[in-house]
Amino acid sequence: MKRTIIIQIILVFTLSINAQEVNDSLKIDETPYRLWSSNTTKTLQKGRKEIGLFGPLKFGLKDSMEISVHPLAFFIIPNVELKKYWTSFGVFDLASKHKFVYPTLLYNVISKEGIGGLLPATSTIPQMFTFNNNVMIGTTINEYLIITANVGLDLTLSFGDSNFPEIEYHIIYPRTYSYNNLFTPYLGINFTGKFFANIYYEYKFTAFFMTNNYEGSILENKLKFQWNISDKFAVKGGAILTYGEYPYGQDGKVFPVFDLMYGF
Amino acid sequence: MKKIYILTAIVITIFQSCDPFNTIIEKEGETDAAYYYTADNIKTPETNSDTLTIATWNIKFGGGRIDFFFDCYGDRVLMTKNEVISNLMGITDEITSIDPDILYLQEVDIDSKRSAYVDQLQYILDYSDLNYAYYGSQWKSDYVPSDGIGRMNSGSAILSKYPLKDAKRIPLPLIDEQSNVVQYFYLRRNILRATVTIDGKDIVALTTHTSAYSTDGTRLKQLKQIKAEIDNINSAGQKFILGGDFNTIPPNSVVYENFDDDACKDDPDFAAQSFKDELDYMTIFIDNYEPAITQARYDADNSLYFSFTSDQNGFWNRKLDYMFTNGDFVDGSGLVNQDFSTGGKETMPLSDHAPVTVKYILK
Repeated sequence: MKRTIIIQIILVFTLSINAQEVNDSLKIDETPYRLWSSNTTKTLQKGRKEIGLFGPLKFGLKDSMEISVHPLAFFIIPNVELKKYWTSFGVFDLASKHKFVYPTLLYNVISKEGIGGLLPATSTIPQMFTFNNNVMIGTTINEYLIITANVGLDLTLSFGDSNFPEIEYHIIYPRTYSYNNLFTPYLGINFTGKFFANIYYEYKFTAFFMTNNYEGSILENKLKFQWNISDKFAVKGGAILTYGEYPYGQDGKVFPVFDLMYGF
Repeated sequence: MKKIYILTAIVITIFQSCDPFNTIIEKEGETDAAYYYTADNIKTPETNSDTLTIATWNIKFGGGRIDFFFDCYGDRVLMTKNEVISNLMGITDEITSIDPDILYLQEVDIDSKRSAYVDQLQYILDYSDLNYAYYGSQWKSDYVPSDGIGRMNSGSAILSKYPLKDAKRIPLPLIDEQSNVVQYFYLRRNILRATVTIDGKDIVALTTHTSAYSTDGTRLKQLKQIKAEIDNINSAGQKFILGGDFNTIPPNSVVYENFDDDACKDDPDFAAQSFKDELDYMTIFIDNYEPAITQARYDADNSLYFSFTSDQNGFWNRKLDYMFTNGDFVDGSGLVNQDFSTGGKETMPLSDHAPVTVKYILK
């Protein structure tokens, strides 16, 4: 597993460096990446808002800063994320994301008997405060390829008695692992660009490292396409392939990705 | 054109993930859904007997007498690995004591969060004199989003000292009255069958575990399908031994409702049902094939053959576990291993079911 991660990371970084050497001075029209949020170092235009059917509400606070919350989920799992573009050096751009989540309310709701009981009713849920900090470095090769590498850490500070099991379900497991195990480091790389016309692709690889307990790692490969129908409407679809070492053994699964987005 | 291929591949990928919790065992096919096991060390069976010892036992996923939420005696959902191993040691000791040539197990967990992901079938093979097994899942989900159950893979198994072949898992009807969502995550009952060859003679071994909480006639449909399966085997001139947890009491049962161990009276999901209108369900087997416990013996004293109670502080109070054959059992050899006083072993601490044993005559 570790060898697979290392090979994949080396491969994508090598590709990105080679690509950059070929063409390191090209400036592209960034409008599509400022009208619609992306996993690049670019942020929404100041004043621009975006909401997804499933995705969060995002708002361009400044020309170099966006904020996002899941409005419906907010009342049961308070959350907020800030994305900041910092600077550029040479052909590279630097940005960061900072997210806060308070999952205690949600975990109390799902600790129940019967349907919807993801956790046993006898679970004792502590006060949990989760901080996610993520640094992104990106470079624009051409309009067909923007490469963004990122490294981050989920850190959950818990207070009070705690007795609840992990949710060992594919894409949920690495994202909630820190609730039981203090922290989860991860790193990844993202390739995005124009596919054709107003359709954009994104391939995102992320490796989560479960360092505190089973010493496993989870690899996620996401490929999606986004059709920017207009400045106001976009639709995206694709799939996530997740694979890794879980408490019960190695496992993998494919999940669909779909969202309708409205921007204004 | 290349772009169309890529988009087509994505659409196919999305459609392939329409079973997001991986619960639909039937999609694997009847033979693919029966999984073969072997013990770490194959033990050579003694071959000097004209009879085989056959046993069936619902081992309650190695839960022993821990008070789980569904019994309404407690609120436990998950076990620790130490608890599971400790309970399995007791179960394996009992199996070694019975020394079956063929053993049917129900509620065997092989990959479940509730039993700390211990592969109980492999454990039993490795720590008993049994060598081979087939497993068929009856409850499988990447995550059961109810009661904190989580990942689940539990089912029935046929274990044998002798090699097994030609296994398949035959699905039984699902409970009609459940909503689609509940049914998606719920148990999928089945018949597991395999063929064992001893001294050149083929015997079809079958085990089953029918629905416990159906009130819409689903269990009767399941029983009829099981009967049809053994009728087909019989018509083909093959010998069979069927054993399992039928979740149905025999005809002429003196007590058929208001069981004294029912702590779930106020919980419609888990309350013990009345068998008042189902007392003839098992006659289709009893009237046509030889049971391990004859109806005459049962009629003489029901209580000697009770094989289930949910109350560890009470005593066995109804018979749910059976074995049938179209061959011959040794007369009077059928036994419910309730405790020492009935000639069996002390099994109350090991499961909510007692093992049933019988001697089968090899001809």
